[in-house]
This record gives sequence, C-alpha cells and structure tokens, in this order.
Amino acid sequence: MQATGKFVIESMDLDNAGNASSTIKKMLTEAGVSKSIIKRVSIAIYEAEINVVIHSYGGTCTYYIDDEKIRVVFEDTGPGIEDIEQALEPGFSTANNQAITYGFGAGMGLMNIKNASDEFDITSSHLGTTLDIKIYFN
Amino acid sequence: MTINKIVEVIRGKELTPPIKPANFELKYAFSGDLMSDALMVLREAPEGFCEAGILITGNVTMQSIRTAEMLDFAAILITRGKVPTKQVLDQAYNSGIIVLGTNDVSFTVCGKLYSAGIKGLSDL
Ligand SMILES: Nc1ncnc2c1ncn2[C@@H]1O[C@H](COP(=O)(O)OP(=O)(O)O)[C@@H](O)[C@H]1O
Ligand SMILES: [Mg+2]
Repeated sequence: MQATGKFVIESMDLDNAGNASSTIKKMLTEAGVSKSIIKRVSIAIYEAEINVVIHSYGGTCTYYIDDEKIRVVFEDTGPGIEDIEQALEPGFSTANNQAITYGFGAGMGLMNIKNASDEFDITSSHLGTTLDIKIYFN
Repeated sequence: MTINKIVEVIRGKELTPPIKPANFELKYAFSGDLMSDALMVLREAPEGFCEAGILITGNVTMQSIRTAEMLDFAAILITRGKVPTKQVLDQAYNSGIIVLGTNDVSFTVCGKLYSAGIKGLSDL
C-alpha cells in the first residue's frame, strides 16, 4: 500500500478534533493492517491531534503509508513547548478548562504517544512544534 | 450480557438506534472521565476487551465518542443522567458505538454491572 495525505487541524475545535485520526484508522482497517497495530497508531495520532487542538494555534497532520510502516508528522504554528523533558513527564499539563471538560489535560498524552510509537521525534520553538512518529506494521 | 439485559440491570436507556444484533454480548467495562487515562491504560488491553466492552463515563462530549472509537469500544455508558447532543449520538451511531444512559453515578452503575458479571481489566 502507498498513501499520503494531509489534514488541517484547527485550534480549540474540540467538536471536530479526531477527524484526522478517525480517517487514518479507517484507511488502515481497510488495508488489513493488524488490529493491535491499528490500536497503537490510533491512540498515538489521536493524542497528538488533540495536543495540536488544545495546546497550539493550529497546524497540520501529514501521513505517509507504505507497505512496512506509517509515518505521521504533526506541525503547528506555536506557541511551542518550553521544556520538552518536562512536557513528557506524566502528570505535567498546561491544559485549560475547556480541554479538561472534554476529558484531556491529564498530562499523559506525550508519554503515551512515545510508548505507542516505534520512532518518536519532537522538536519545538516558540514558532511551533513538530512531532514525527513512525509505527511499523510488523 | 446482552444490551437488553444491561439496560434492565442499570435501569437505563439505549440512546442510539439498535446497532448490533439482539444476541450481541458485552462482557467487560472500564470506567473513567479522563480520556487520556483510558487511552493509556487500554493501549495494551487483552485483545477483545474493548470490542466486547463498555466505556463507563460522565464525559458526554464528542471526545468521549472519539476515544471509544479509537479504542474499538462496542458501547459507551453515560452516567449521572447527562444527555448527549444529537451531534454526539450521530457520531457514535456512525462509528458503530452503542450509547447507553443511566441516572446513576458511575460508582453505583459500576457496582451493579460488576455484580451482574461484567468484568474489569484486573479480573483478566
Ligand atoms: N503541540 C503542542 N504545542 C504546545 N505545547 C504542547 C503541545 N503538545 C504538548 N504540549 C505541552 O506539553 C504538555 C504535556 O502534553 P501531554 O502529555 O499531551 O498532556 P496534556 O495534553 O494532557 O496536557 C501540555 O500540557 C503542553 O504544555
Ligand atoms: Mg495531550
């Protein structure tokens, strides 16, 4: 399989958040990828999509699927993460009340994304954050 | 346990039109209001847990449905009499997720379902 595409993610649009993850999940299901891999991919990209929604000014999600893996890159336009090591710690969160109302802001997202991924790379400045993850199908 | 039996045990309501056949059995449940917690704890749940499972939550937003979808939950049970919007119910229905509702708080409904034989992660 060979597929690539891009989604725009709007800041604080909590009623539509999850659209990118849901679409990618359906594609992998149709392609016959194993259930346990799809679950890892879905969880990782959903938490990442939510982070762009609740913590950034907005951004994009680009996916690249080939026979052996999926790579998903989330890019946003700021305000960035001041201390990535601290952000990765379980329980650390700067989420606002609206995010909490929707069930997020427990400070476990980044760690869960990292654990669910085979490769995990995050860079950030005040101009934005880029999260680049890969999950292999075998 | 069938959906009808569960609705009877919790004295609740099925809020989505029927999605599964009447003999479809639910066996497991997980309860929580923090979606990230469910997403973390259930990432490595035994295969089939969520597929025959109910997410019991007081969170009645689009994101509780999305979370159930990402985890492949068969059903979601909304507690404390909260009423999902039509948008939330449509989203669930389109994702094949049964939505149940009860006036009980999560603690009480968990107790009722556990007594009736529904199992949790730590029972497996
Ligand atoms: N895309 C992002 N832009 C800015 N800050 C972010 C982004 N993603 C994560 N963060 C920061 O890292 C923290 C931890 O993220 P996470 O572990 O997902 O927990 P949560 O989303 O529940 O706060 C967030 O509270 C936020 O401060
Ligand atoms: Mg997060």
